[in-house]
Amino acid sequence: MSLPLNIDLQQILLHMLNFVILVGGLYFILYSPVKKFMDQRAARYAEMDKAAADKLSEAEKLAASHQAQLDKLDEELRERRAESQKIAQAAAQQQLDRAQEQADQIIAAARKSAQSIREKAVTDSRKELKELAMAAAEKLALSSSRDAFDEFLNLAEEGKQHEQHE
Amino acid sequence: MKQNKRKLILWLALIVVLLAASLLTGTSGGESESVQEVMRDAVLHESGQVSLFGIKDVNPGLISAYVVTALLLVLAVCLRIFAVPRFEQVPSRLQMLLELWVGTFSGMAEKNSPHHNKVLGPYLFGAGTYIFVSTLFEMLGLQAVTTAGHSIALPAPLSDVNGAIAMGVLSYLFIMSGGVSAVGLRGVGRTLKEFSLPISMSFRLFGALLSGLLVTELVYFYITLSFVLPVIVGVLFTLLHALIQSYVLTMLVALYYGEVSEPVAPKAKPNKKTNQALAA
Repeated sequence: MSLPLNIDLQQILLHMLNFVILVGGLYFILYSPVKKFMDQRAARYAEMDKAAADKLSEAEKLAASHQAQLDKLDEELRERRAESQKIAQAAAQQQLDRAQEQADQIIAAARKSAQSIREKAVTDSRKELKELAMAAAEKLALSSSRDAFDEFLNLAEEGKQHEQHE
Repeated sequence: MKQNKRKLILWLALIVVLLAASLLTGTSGGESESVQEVMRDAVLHESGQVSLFGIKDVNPGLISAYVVTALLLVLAVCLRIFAVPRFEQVPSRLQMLLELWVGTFSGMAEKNSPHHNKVLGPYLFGAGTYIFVSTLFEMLGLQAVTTAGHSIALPAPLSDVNGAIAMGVLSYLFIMSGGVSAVGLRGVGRTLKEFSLPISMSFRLFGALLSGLLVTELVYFYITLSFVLPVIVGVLFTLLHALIQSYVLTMLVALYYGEVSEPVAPKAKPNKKTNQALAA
């Protein structure tokens, strides 16, 4: 069947047949295996991506739980620190009290010791005065009677005043 | 340095020889037919028909179509045997090219027809490849003998009006089949709405390819013009032409296929209560 412009139905059909053969052949020989390979690779990458996302979410969960544990430990540490500080303060106060007590005792002992030393010094000085007086009297008795006697009396009076002062 | 000089001299000598040969032999070419006859024959193929295995005299475009199909199938078989089994996760250059080739058309199908695209991808792949390669085929200049005994260069298959009509009508029928398989008879209605599609697709292809052919015939009919317009311009023009034509047809088919195979949105049931309230 021939139409204007040399259009031929048979040749059109032959062109169609040729094209159908080509499309089918290309599909089975090339398109399908290449597409299959590409799809498999895409699926593999999607799977890897999903696995990575799962791992990431797991890691995030783990990190959150670790953070919670860390917070808990921090809180516990703070409490323990406050407690130990309290204990240390009490111990320091106790030591201070003890030291104060010891200091008081030492002061009292020192005072007592000073008192005894003073008393001993007074006694010793009196004894010394007596001895001096005895020596002077002896000397006077031997050298002159009147002057020596007055002198003795004066010395004895001075010793008494000295005693009163102390 | 000496070698380079020698090469340069050889190259220049070759150019001079070829130029002289072209000028000396050019006077006899194209004189047996007038330019009007050549161009009329390029459009209508009334006299330049070729015998198809002695069965029937056909336009040379049909022979070109079969040659292109044979070449493509042989290439596909070679790639299937030697390249595809060696595919790796990290692709080589050839693998990347093949994946780009397949991925372009499958991506086009998935993008333009998201609901039904299993058959569309292979069709676009076949059509795009066929149009691209068959347009480039005219550059090979394979010779055939007409029934009248003349020697002719085989043209692009789609510059034959029968080839273009076949392509356009087949694409239209394919779009219709997509509509039918997706939404039944509604798909036929949707496709028939675009009744001008086969004619527009056929004659767009025919016109585009024939215009290229006619320009080439016209330019290279006169040997002197082939020096004014270097061959590389013709080659680049044909390459661009092949890309554009394959893109246009595949994109149109994908768009219309997606449109006719779009699932029917369920109609919202009228709410009686709301209607009553509105009436009140």
